[in-house]
Parts: sequence; structure tokens; C-alpha cells
Amino acid sequence: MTESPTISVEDIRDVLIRSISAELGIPPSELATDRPFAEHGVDSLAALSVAMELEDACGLTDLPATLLWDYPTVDVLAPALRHLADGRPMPAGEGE
Amino acid sequence: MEPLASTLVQTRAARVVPASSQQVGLWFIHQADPSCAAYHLLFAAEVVAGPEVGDRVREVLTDLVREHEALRVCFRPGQDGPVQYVEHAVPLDLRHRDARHLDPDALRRQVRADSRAPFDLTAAPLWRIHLYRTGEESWVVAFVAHHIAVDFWSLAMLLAEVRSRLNGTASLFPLDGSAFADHARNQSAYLASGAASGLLAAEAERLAEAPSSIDLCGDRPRPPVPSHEGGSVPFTLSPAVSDGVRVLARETASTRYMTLLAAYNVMLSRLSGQPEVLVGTPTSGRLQRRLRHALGNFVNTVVVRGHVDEASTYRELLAATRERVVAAMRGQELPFPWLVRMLAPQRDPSRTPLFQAGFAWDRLPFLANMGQFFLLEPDPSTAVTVAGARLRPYPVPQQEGQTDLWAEMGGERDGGYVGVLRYNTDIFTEGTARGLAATFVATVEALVGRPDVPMRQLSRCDRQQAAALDRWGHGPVRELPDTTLPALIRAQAGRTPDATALVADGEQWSYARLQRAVDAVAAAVRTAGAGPGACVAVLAERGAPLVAALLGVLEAGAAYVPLDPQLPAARLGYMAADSGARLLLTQERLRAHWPAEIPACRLDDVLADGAGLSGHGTVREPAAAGAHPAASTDLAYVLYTSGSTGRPKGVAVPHRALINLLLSMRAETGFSPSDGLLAVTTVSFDIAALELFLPLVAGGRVIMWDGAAADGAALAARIAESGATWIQATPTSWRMLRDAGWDGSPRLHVLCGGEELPAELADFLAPRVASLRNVYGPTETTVWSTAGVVRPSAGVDLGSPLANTQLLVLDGSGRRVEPGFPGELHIGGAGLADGYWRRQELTAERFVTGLPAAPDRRLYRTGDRVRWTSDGRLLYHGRLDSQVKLRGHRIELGEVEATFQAMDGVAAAVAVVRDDRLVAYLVAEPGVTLAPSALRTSAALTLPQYLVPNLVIILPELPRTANHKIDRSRLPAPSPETDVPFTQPRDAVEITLARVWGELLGLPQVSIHANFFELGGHSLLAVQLAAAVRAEWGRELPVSTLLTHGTIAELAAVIRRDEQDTVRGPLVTLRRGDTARRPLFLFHPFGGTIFCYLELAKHLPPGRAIHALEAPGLDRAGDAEVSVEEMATRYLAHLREAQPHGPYALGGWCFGGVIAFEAAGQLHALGEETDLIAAIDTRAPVPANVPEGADDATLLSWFARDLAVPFGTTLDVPAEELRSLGTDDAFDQILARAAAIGVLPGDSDRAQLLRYFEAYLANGIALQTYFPDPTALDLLLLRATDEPADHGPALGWEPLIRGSLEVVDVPGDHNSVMYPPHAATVAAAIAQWMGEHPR
Repeated sequence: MTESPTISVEDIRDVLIRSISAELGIPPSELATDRPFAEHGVDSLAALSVAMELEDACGLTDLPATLLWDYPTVDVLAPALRHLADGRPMPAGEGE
Repeated sequence: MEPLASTLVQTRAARVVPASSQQVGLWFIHQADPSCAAYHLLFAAEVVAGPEVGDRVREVLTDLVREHEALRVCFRPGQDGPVQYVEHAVPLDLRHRDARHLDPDALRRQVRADSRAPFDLTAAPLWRIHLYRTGEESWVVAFVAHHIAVDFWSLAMLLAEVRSRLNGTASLFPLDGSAFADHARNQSAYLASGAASGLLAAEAERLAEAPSSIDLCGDRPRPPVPSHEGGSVPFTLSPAVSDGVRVLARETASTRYMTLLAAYNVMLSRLSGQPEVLVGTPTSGRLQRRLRHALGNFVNTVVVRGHVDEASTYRELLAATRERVVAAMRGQELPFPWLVRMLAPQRDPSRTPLFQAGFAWDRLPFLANMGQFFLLEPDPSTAVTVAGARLRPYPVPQQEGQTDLWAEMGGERDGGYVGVLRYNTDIFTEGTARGLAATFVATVEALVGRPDVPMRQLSRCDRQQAAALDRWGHGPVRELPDTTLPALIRAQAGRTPDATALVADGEQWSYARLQRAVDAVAAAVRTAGAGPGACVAVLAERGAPLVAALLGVLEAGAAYVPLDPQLPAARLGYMAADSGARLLLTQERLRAHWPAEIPACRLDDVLADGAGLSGHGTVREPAAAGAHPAASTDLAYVLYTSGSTGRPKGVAVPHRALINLLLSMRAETGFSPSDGLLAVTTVSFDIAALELFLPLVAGGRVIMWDGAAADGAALAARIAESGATWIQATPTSWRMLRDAGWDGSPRLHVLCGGEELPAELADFLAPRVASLRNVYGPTETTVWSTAGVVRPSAGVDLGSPLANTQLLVLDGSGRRVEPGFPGELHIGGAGLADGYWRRQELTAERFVTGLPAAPDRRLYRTGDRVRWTSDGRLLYHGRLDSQVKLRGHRIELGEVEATFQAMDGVAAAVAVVRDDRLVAYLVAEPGVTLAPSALRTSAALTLPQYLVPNLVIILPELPRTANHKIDRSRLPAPSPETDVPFTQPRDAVEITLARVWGELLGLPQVSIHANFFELGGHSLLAVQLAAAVRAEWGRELPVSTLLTHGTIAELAAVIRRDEQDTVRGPLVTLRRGDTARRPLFLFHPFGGTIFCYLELAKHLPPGRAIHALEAPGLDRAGDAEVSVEEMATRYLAHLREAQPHGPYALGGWCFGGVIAFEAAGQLHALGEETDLIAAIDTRAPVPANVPEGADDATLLSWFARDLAVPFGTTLDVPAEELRSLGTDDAFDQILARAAAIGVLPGDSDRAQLLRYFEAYLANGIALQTYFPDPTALDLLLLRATDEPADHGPALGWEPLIRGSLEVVDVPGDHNSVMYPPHAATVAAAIAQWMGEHPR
């Protein structure tokens, strides 16, 4: 969490949308940010790739394997990661 | 191998890195089964290419091996577990084979066999390439790797990298061949962290109280250790169903994996019959960035805990499954083998821990255009071109046998999901696996098609399966004549009046005579006013009158209620009263058994009065004036069976059902007029109806067996001399016959039923008889519902339905289950009883109509768990309720429990069957002391013998589960509890009996006053006991003797009574041993008896037999030897029968040590070796040790004293007292006092005591005159250190032993060394010298 201390929620959303649409092979515009990732076809393998992209972008390591299940939409996940990048605990996710 | 490479291998040391938890797990699997190929990963393809491509591939691979350490690893044992070695240089392992002469099938077999050739995990590389040349420019190539080194992701990345390099294009990603080296270290650091312990706690909670295994109901008995052998079955979901999966996944925010896993769980839940199913699922294990492109094995398996409630919808199940999968994924960083170790679940070495079924979803996004290469049934048009080479998939099954079942999905073909179902061939046949795959496809289709309907409302079985079930489950349809049993027999009697119908009591009854007797009985029944609709109780001994009575009742239009005089009076009374019987047909000699309050009609009178009952004659027309013959729908009999509520229940069977059984079995067996059936079953068991009536409807004869049911030897003899061609009996009876030495009858056709037919018994029976049929059916569907010829090689099944009979295997929702799936057998058709006599509620519960599988059909719910195999054989899988079959008897445990619960002082009762014994566990009310033997006795007043527990065990409280149900699995193992204090055997007969009882009952020691049946003995064990008595004493002991002489002491008295006439050797076996190992022989001490060795024998290490030699004079007057040399010679003759040649192991306490010494000397002279002479506190036979002379009275006093020593008591009769009495009175005095304290058997007489004394005197004379020469023998002397008399440090042996003289001091005095607690020390000292000595 040293590399990009100032990354914004918007930046995180962009990373998320870009990596998920790339992973699923769909245009970013088709990704509804209030709908669960799984609804778009994200599976655990895709989730792993997305999580790694997020680690790189946010300068975080060891994100939980179930991140995209615990915070199942872009709208929920992005602010949660923002908290984490600030060194604060993540808010309770839906899957907990 | 190139010379340069090999030099490198030798000169540069390998790098050593630790192995990960998963690798350690695979290492141990390999250690346990080095031929295991279940963890070989495989990629194979057909290639068309020029030789230059091959050279190029070789270069690329060589480069890759040089670049990446991960391709150069192997494993060797380290300090604790394996260590990973990274070699510096590793040659390619390329294996060429010219396959141009092989046809495609042979090649496929060859590739499969080669791919399964085991790896040596200690030698790199742990991967290899098989190349098969199939043409000028065509090849089959197979890449095989051991999973311990790489995972499938690595294999795919390698493939992508090779492809890029061959094509000369950029790599898809930077392959990392060294990250693996730090993985294990990182893993152990992580596992020591707080994060890991947090996850572990969560996993422990998540998996708490999960079922320890799921029983997937296989075809074969599970081997004690899995073999890792398996097979693969491909399956395909249609594009439409696959679309349904995609849509549902999206709608429920699940993955396709979760959606299909939920369906898989539904299938497993149905297969195992349990709602909870644990499924293993692999995860990539590449959570960290650094492992993303690493070569190695990182895969980790997590356990998904599924729960299926078919009352919910599939959509609801999906939502729950999603949460359960995510919960499992949270723990994915904990390596599975580590998790197993930490959770330490209950282990069963025959099963994989935690889960037995797996589900994998594999997707290789970067190899998208090669997806077909990983399918078992790829699209045949698939082809890719790499660097001018053309590749086509070459599917070979792999990774088979890792678990019981494993479904692998993730691939698609033509828009449909495809998968492979791997199964372990230890338990599943290929046919069953195919059926399971088809069922999975049908299950997905049904669930996805109607995701919002409760799952239990969806139908099971596809059309093909339903058609097969119809074919297998419906017996032939045959028109049933509208008639009754007596009418059929009358017709037969009209056709063959003079043919023999019955052979009983040494008489032959013709059909005409039988018919006249039947008519006489019918007339008597009518006269007594018991016509149609009435019940008539029949209580008669086995014989022709019994058959006449049963048929006479039917002829009169009434129904019979069979009563077996062997049943307790209370039970007979209950049956008579409950049935409302208006008349009792019985015999005068059974008067003691007559239930009160029913008018009795003596068969003796009826049959004696009947005019012209003997001799020839014609058969009269039926029915005197005013008679109403029965209709086919009228009741034929009411038969009582064990009832779960504690009261027997009557099954009401109509004529129609009985006729259907008899005619169907006549067709099945081909029973002919020349056949005779030996009827052995009691009338209180419904199958007796077949034995008594089938021969009569076929014009054959019934041969009545009237001996004791448990007398196997007598029955075997009767089978042989009766000329019977048919017999029906339970497996228990067949075992009894086998134990009695019966070895088959080539002319005998056999029906075996009443309980499960074990395969080993079928193997024994089938080749020894003309034919063997397994028959099955509950009383409620009239004797039998299925029958089939047993072919042992094919296994035992229940056979096929009888005529007009339908078998349906249904689940708890009343749906038909798929072939291969277990369910409850429901039976419909003409054999159905009317129901339970006057028990409407119970009838409605068990005889059901309106089930989804057959809404209009009345079905009997059998409570039997069964399964159709894929080839239409019906297999039995036990009971669904607490009804058990024990030795052929149907037992409702509830009835046993209710009986005890009703007794005073009993707070709670539980009955179980353990090791073929019925055991009752009781808890007493506060302040009450329960006496097990008294409780058994009072249970026997109301329960038939087979319902009386073999063991009654009193517990302070019953074990309970978390939700306070009685936990039967935690009831303590039955150990006999008897109120009889332990008394040890008093002579050789009792010693031998005690040993035999201990062996049969599995007890370490048996009191001579404990009752055989109270210790858990039962009729079958009694048969074995009788056989042991025959072997030991050559005496035929009727099993009935055991019933009346139930203790060792009583039985010994019977055996002793005429043992005087038989010559028995002096060798007594104290303990049997491994026949491959040499026994230990112990010689009697002064006095000739051998009780002193009982305690020692208990403590000597197991394995070697222990024989003792007692003085022959004890049994026969005037047989006492008076010289040690003669004694030894005589004993050696017997000893050498048991062990013809040395080396021998000998020993003895006191004087016994002297005999052992002499015996060893004689053996030496015969050229035989002795490797152990153990003398226990034996004074050397030297003049200095000879005692002062003593008169008769002194000797007699010593004799009395020594008599009591073995029993841990004292018998002190002073010499002065004896001297004043005179010899005879002195003897009487000792006899009385010895018997009073239990030192001599109660039936001992003076003659016996005299013989004991003679032997004592003879020993004394022998010892005083034995002064041997020194010898070269070795002696082990155990010296009792607390003995007050001083006989020197080696008890005077020094001058006699020229070999080694080893003296071991043991605590105790001369007598107490042989008894607790010192005998154990002596045994331990001898054990040192008794190592492994193969015979």
C-alpha cells in the first residue's frame, strides 16, 4: 500500500471495469456496476485475475480469495478497496 | 543420454528445497502404493509432421528444461517426510515406439498402459514423452507428468510456451520455473501465522459434525485399502440444457460451476441416502501474483459441504450452494493434507479422508483453441496447426481412481457442456458408472427445466431408465385360477389317490389318506361352529396331523393361526386371543401349552375317529351338506411376526395370495410328482407354507423333519437318507449344516431365503447341490416375492419377481429411483396380504396406495433398502428401520426394548445386534440393582427364544447424541456381564472346555459356573461347541445337552461321566496358536495336575500354542508312572504327535522342570534339538535335595495342601488329625473339605481322589529315585527369591548342566510364582527366550 496512496474510488472502479470486461470479453459499457459480478459470468478463475489486477493497481497484497463474492458488485467493491488502501479495515461485505 | 549431461549430473550436487504439504501428501500415497497411476497428468495428440518438427520440439524442450528448475525436480526421503531435489541437468525422457503394425485399438491400449507406468519419484525428470510412430509422417505423442511435480495449469502453460516457441511468436506470459522452490517455505510460514489459525478455526467450525463418509452404494465390497484403480465415462449436456445452466447461473449470481455442483450434490444425496454430502473441489492455489505463471504443483483441494433438502426448489438450493462454495473458498489457502491432519477426522483407511466424491471445473482460457484436446470425447473435426505440424486430439483417460467418484467439467462441445465421470473400480462397475453419468445428465435436465418447483416433485429417471425398470420389476402376468388351496389338493388327490403325499413319523400318507384326514378335520371345525371368516388356532407337533389340520381348517372355510409349541405360553396366549380364534386344534400331549379360554379340539380324536383313515380308498366329493367352501379372496391364515411396538402383529393372508405363491413357485422350480421336499421350518414362520403345500399342489411329497432345529448332524443324515430332492432353509440353517460336516447332495435342489445370503455361503452351496435359488420376500407379500438361481461368480442378487408381482424401488417421496440408486423396495401384485389383522392404522402405514410412481396400485413398503444394478439385478442393502434379521428370524428391536422397559426397575432399554448376537443395554431406575440373568429369564417368559437377548448389559446411562437421541453407535462393545463370580477350571476337562468357550465367545476367561447362553452363546455357536467336544473327546453331544447343561461345570460332568471308558492322551491344550509357529510344552508338577499353568498361559506372548502334559494316572487307576525316565518317554510320544520334530521348547514348574530336563535329554539322544528348557523354581534332582522321609499321613497332609494351592486358597489338614482317622476316613475327610471349598469338582468321588493321591505318591517316588548324569544341555532356571528354604543360588543345578545355566530371579515363593501377580513376571522372563521360532 505504498505505491499508489492516492488512488481514488473512481480509479479503482476503472481498473475493475476494465479488467472484468477484458476477462469476460465484453465491452466495458455492458457492465452494470450495480449487478453481481457472477451475473456477468465471472467465475473463480476470472475473479482471481481481476484480484491480481487490483493488487497491482492499488498496491495491495494478499487480497482474500473470495473478494469478489464478499463484495459482489463494482459499486460495493470499489469503496471497500479504497478503505483498505488507506490502511483501514474493509467494511463488512455482503457475503460475510 | 549424452555423455556431457551425465558428467554434469555426477559432478554438480542437486539443490535441496522443502516439499509442500500437498506434495508430501502425494509422496505418502506413492509410498503406500508405488504402482499408483492415479496422479499422472496426461496430454496426448495425433501429429502429422515432418521429422524436422520433431527435432525442433526436442530443442525447445531441452531449452525449457535448462531454463526451468521446476522441470528438473525429484523427491527423496528426508528427516521427516520427503525433500524436493532440483537436479542441475536432466536428460529428456523420450520413449519411442514403432506403432505402425498396431491397429488403432491396440495402440490406444498401449498408450494407456504406457501412461500408467509408474514414476520413480526419486529420479528426475518426473515427466516423460511417449512417441508412437504410426506412419511415415504421423505420430501419436503423449506427455505424461506426475502431479507431485506439476499441476494441470503448469502443463497447459508449458504447452502454450512450446507452441509459441515453435511458431516463433512471443510468449503468452513470462513462464516462471523457480518460484516453486520457495513455495513450501512460504506455506509453512503462512501456516504458522495467526491468519492461518483463524482460517483453521473457521474450517473446524464449518466442517464440525459433518458425516464421516458418504456411502455411494457401490457394486463391490470396498477393499480395506483403496487400489487407486478407476475408469472414466464421458457425458454431455445438450445445448438447450447447457443454456439453461448459463441462464440460471446468471439469474442466481452463481457460477456455472456452482450450478452444476448443486445438481451433482442432489445426485450424491440420492445415491447415499443422506442430505449432507461433502465434495472435494480443486482450486488453483495460485492466489499470489508470484505464482501466476509459476511451473510446479500448487493445486489445493477444498471441501464443499453441501446440504440437499428436496422440499426446497433448485433455485433455493443454488443460493445456498453459492454461499457454501464461497465459505469453502475462504479456506483455500490451507493445504488439504494439513487440514486433514489438524482436523483429525475419524479415519477409515478404506476411504479418502473428508470426501469421497469430487467435482472439478477446469478452464484454460489461454489455450482456448485447444480445449477439445482435454476432452474424453472431443469434436472429431478438431485440428490445430503448429509450426507446420497438424495436431488432432488423442483422448486417453487419466487420473482415474483418486476417489470413489470424480466429475470433471468445464469443457464445451457444440454449445453443450461435456464432462467425464471418473469412478473407482474397487466399488463401481462400468455399467453403474455409465448409469450414474446418465442420471447426472437427467438430473441436471430435470432441475434446470423446473427450477422453481420443490425438487421432490420432479420426476426421476429418463425414459430409457423407466423402461428398463418396468422390464426388470414386473413379474410374468399369469391368470390366477379362482380357486383355493384345499380345492387344488383335492383335485390332486382325485388324480393320484395312491401317490405318497406325506412322509412323517415313519409313516407314508397317500393323497387319499391325507384328503380323508383333511375332510375329517374340516367336519370337526364346522361342527365346532368355526366356519368361513373364523380363525382357528392350530397347535400341533410336526407331523402328518399338523398338515391335515392346517388344510382341514382351510377346507372348512376358516383361516388358520399356526402356533409353535416351542413358543412361550404367554406369547401363544396372546396370539390366540388377538386373532380371536374360536377353536384350538391341538393334541393331548401338548396340553401344557394350550392357551386358556379357547375351546380345544383334539386332533388325536378327530383323526382316530375318521373312518378308514388308513389304507386305500377313493376321494370323496368335497363339502358335506351345509358347508361353505372358501372363496379365493377369503383369508387363508393369520401369521404373527415380531412387532415394533412390543406386541406381535398378525399378517392376514388370503387364499389368492397363497395360490399365487404356490403356482408361481411350481413354475419357477418345475416341481414334479417325483420330487420330495424335506420340510424343516416351524409353522410359525410363514415360509413353512411353501414347504408343506408346494409339493402337494405339484403331486409330489412332503417329507417332514421332526428333529431339533439346531441339530445339524441329524439333519444332514436325514437329507441323505430321505431321498428328498428339494429343501428350503435359511442361510443360518445352511451354515449350521456346513458346520456339522454336511458336504452337499448332488441331487438336492435348494431354496435359500429368510435373510441375506452371504456370498461365501453361496460359494459353498452352489457347487454342492443340484441348484441353488435365492428367494426373498416379507411375510406381508406371502412367503416369497422374488426367486433366482444363484451363480456365485456373478454375485448374489434377489432374483426376479414371481408371477403377478411388481417390484418398485422408490425414494422417500414415492418416486422411482434410477438404476444404480438405492431406495425402498415396494411390492405390489397378487401376493399382497390383506393387511395386519385388526390393526388398521398399521396396515395403512405399510400398505400404501397413491404414491407418485404408481398412483393406482396398492404397494407394501418392505423397509428393505435395495438397488437395481445397471444390468437389472436386484441387490439387497440392508434395512431402513430397526428391524433386523438374526439367524433367519425377523426381529423388531422395538419389541425387545418394549419387553424390558415394561419390567420393574428398568428405566431404559436399547436392543442392538452386534457380532451376530442380540444385546440389550439397560439402565436401572435409581436405587435398583438389576440382575442380568434374572431379566433374561423373565424376558424368556414372553419372548420366543430368538428374541431373548444373548447378552444383557447394565449401563449407568445410555450414550446420547447432541440432540439427546440414543446414540447406538456409542454403546459399549458387548462384554459379558454376569452375576456369577469367576471360578477357574478344576481339571483337564474343564480347562479344555474353558478354552473352547473362550475361543467361541471371544472372551479372555470364562467362569466354570457361567451360562453359555448368558455369555452370548447362541444356537450356532452351540453347534460349533458340539463339534469341538466331538473333536476333543470323540463324543457326540446333542445340542440339547447344552441347553440343559449350560455351564462348563455341568457340561464337564456330562463328559466326565463316561470319559473313563475313553483313552485320552495326557496332552491338554491351554491355548491354541499360530500353526506356523512351534508350541511350548509344559510338564505337570508334583501331583500331576496342570492348573498351575493357567495363569502363566494367559501372560505368555500370543502366537505360540501352549500345551500342558498332565499325569495319566489322574484319569485311570493304576496308570501312575513311578520313574521320571518312563514318564518322559511316555509324554514324549504324545508331544511328538503335536510336534514331530525339534527344536522343542519345554518347561515346567517344580517337578515339571525335572521332567522337562529328562525329556530334553531323551530328545537329544534321538537327535532332536531343544532350544528352551525353562525350569520354574525347580530344585535339581540331586541327592542333597531329597527330603527327609515322611509317613503316609504327612504325605496326605502335603497332598491336601498342594491340592488347594492352584485355587488360591488353603486346605490345611494336619497330619496328626489324619493319622488318627485311618486311611479311608482320612480320604473322606479330605474329599469333603476339598469339594466344599471348590477345589475338586462336586461330583468327585473317593476313587478319583485316590487316583490323585496315587499320582502324587508316584511322583514322589520318581523324584526320589532320579539322579541323572550331567549333560550338555542349556537350562533357563527361574528362581523364586522369596522362598524361605535355601537350596543355593542355582537350586543345585550347577553339577548337572554342562551347557549354559541361566538363572533369572523372579519375585514370589515356590508356590506363589505361578499365581497373580508373580506369574506375569515369570511369563515375561520366559518370553525373552521364546522369540520368533518358525516351525
